[in-house]
Amino acid sequence: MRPLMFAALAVLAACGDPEPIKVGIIVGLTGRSADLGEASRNAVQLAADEVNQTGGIDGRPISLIALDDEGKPEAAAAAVRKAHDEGVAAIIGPNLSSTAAAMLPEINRLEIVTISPTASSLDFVDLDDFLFRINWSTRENATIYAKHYYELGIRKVSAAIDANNRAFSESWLNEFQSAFAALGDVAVNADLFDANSDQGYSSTAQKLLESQPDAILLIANSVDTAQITQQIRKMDNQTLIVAAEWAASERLLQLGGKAIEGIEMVQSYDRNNQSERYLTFKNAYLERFQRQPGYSSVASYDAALMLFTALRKDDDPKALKKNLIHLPVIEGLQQPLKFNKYGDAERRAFFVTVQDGSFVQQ
Amino acid sequence: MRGFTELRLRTSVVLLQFSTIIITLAVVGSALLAYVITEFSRENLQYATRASETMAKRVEDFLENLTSEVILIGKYHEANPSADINAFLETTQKRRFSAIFIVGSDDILKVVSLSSGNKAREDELPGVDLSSYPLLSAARTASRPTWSGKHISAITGDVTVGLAVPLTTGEAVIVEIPLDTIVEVGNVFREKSHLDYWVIDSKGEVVADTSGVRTQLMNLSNLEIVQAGFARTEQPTLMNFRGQDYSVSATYSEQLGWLFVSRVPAGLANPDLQEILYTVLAFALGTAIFGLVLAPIWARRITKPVGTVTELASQIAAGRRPARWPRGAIREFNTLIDDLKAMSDAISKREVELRDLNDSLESRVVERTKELVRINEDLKRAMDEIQQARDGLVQSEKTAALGRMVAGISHELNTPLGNGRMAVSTLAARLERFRERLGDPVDRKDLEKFLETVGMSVEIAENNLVKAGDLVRSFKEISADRTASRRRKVVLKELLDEVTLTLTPALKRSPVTLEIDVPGTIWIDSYPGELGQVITNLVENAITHAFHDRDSGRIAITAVQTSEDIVTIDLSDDGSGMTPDVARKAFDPFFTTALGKGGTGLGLYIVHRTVETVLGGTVALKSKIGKGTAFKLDIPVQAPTAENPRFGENMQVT
Repeated sequence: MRPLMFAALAVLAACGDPEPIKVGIIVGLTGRSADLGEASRNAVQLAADEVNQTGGIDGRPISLIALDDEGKPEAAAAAVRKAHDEGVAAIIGPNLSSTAAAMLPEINRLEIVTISPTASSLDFVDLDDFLFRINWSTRENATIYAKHYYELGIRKVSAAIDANNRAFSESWLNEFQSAFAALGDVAVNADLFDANSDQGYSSTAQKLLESQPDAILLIANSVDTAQITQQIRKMDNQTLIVAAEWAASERLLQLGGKAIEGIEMVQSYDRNNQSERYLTFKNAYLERFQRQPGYSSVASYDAALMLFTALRKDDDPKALKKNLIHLPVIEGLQQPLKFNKYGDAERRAFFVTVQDGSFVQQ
Repeated sequence: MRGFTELRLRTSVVLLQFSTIIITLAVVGSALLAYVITEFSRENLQYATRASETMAKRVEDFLENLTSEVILIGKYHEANPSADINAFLETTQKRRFSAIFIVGSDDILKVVSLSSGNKAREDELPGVDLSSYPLLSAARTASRPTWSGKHISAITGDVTVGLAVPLTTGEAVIVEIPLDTIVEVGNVFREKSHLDYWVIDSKGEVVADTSGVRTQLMNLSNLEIVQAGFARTEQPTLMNFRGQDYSVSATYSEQLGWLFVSRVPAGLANPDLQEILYTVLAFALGTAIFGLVLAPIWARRITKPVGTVTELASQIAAGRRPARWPRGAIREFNTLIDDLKAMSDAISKREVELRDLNDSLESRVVERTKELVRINEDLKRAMDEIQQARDGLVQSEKTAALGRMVAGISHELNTPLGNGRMAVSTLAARLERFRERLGDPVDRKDLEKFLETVGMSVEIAENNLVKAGDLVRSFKEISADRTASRRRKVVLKELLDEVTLTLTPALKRSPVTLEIDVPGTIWIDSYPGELGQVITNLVENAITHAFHDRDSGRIAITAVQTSEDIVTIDLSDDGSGMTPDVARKAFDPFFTTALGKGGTGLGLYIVHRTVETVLGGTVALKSKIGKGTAFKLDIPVQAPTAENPRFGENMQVT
């Protein structure tokens, strides 16, 4: 009797409105990478709202289902199953390579097309699978860093890499090391650190400074980068600190205080982009969320753009993979977008420095 | 034509009862539901409004308590700047704070206490620069205790909410509490499982969601209720969130800068309403089922007496008298049964009466029949007598006619006989005179004169005797014909001439002339006596009736042989004619217009009967007042020999 009644109510509720297209967002909304996750989620929300305000996809509205991967692999894999249970047509996310790695077998098993805005581990490159990426791989990014700092005369580097996102950080470090070594006589010290341990950040900071490097390389999220930098700056005021592009969010500025002045990193988008398209997006984002969009916002918006374009072609999730690969070049917020046959795309890179509490493009 | 299917009474009673139940339930249920739903929606909204206000108040109270505690810590620190704040902070760690720390006026963290008890972190954190920490800058700007929205803790890296209390010294105390704490506080005040709260910070981020983590993950700044709540404009009462309608209400907390949004499923999705609906539905269903079960029982109860009555009526209709008259609980049916019984009794009584009546009727019929048979026989006898009398009359008439003919004949004979006698007398007188003068000289002249007279007298006598002899011979023929019904072959004209001769006396007494125009070539092989009688009767009839008070009249007889077998004789007069009534009855026996003047009323009857029965022909008359009457006789050339056609069959009157 009760299920019957519910079924009747469900039918009542359902009739009249066309079936929405469910899209999952799996990003970290708690934990240390929550800033990236929030920025991604907001951008996708914005993109979905824009689609819905213009009549949806063939009349079907986009319904977003946000799931928190907590920045943890297990939670991310569970989130994929949850999203599948919800009947999502596709997933946007995750931000981290570690969570992406955990999700990969699940999305391939369940055949859910997943577009990661930021995951860049080399592990995902050139694989014919259900994971699409909107980012460079760590190889490109790390190579850019290596070249840039080699040219600046940096030869000796101490690196701290996040043990909680090794898929990204180790891949990044490896690519950096090989690219850096290829340039000349260099030395790279690297240590894993675990923010979840009881040891705090000061020991990591000490270790980094011990070898008196030309530069310190932090392959970590914004919170940890801020914390380590805070500890480094308590002991050393001189050494150049370079952060991997992962940390390049607004949160870094809020938590880093004066300690992060002068820290350098790559951002995958042009903060100063003056195109009308980007400005419109930026203003809408600012108004809606009262925050600046970050690099994950831009990448996520682009990911949503590609997903919705493919869905417009055919809202059948089964055709999605093929349609995404065969999408023509789409104009993203700041750059043209195109997946290769493995579902990978390219991003531009911009070096920024923190000056007076904000990012300044070099 | 039948408009609908015939139903059994019981079926129709069951249907009637069931449809009554269903319609009643549908009508009353719908009205009730409409009322309940309207009323419920109103109450639902009130409930949501009350809930959001209560929630805001409770959370405010809760956080205010925390604030007071933090202010106390600050005051303690202000009063004892050099005191070991750590020890004091550690004692306050019983609270829900995940972190509590004091920031110097230079925004450098001075001291920190973590609920995780991570000593390494507590030790390394002092000296960290928090100048960009939004919570701190907000509190410094506001110069009062300030609660943050959802943010990532600079200390723990967790998503959290925090309170910054600026101290007069320029320092600040910051505490952070996990989001779950707010959810827990909310849950404490949650009265119903389907009542949910959002606590939303100024950026639209969900600080707490009692429904679990899912909606907490979205930014809700685009919801109408959230925008209206922050803008403090008029709020929508209904919200569609993820395909579900909710009654919503938002209460803004000035103190916290947060919005408390309570939501209760609206309409049919609301569990309370669902419960009401289930109750109503269950009641309706129960009633319907109960009705369905009860309806046949009740129908049987009602239809049983009807069945009884029907059975009784059938028995009565079949002519049986029911042995039992069962009575039931329904008065009308009992009355009906009583009436049926009375009816049946009445029928039985009538039946007995009718049977008796029938019996007596039969005997009466037998009596009457006997009587009728007797009367019939009497009548038959009378008819026979009448027939005999009529035959006698006809015979008498015939005899009288014969008499009249004899009289006519005598009259005819009288003249030649008288003439003869006179001639003979004259001859005798001459002879006497001659004898007397025998002695006298005979004068030749006298002799010659005598001889001449004798010769003439003899001639006259001879002529007249011959004539008389002829007359007698022809009369002899006629009378022989008539008395013996002799059949012979005769020339019609001769027959008519002879008949005319017999009529001469009658014609002489009247002003009527008879003209006969009949060719001498027509022969008939028939009964001349009978035909003569017919002609005689017709002529006499015309003389008697057609020419009263007339100076002259004419009767014409013509005849033609119309075919090889038939001779048609027309006998017409130019007399006064007959009225149609008379014409119609003219051939009837004993019908006469000259009663008391010697008419017998049998003349034309005899004509008719003779033509048809003896001559085998037909007779018809045409008559018109003032124009005369015409009789038309169609007579076979060969009269029938066999038994005559039935009397009167061919009578025609026009």
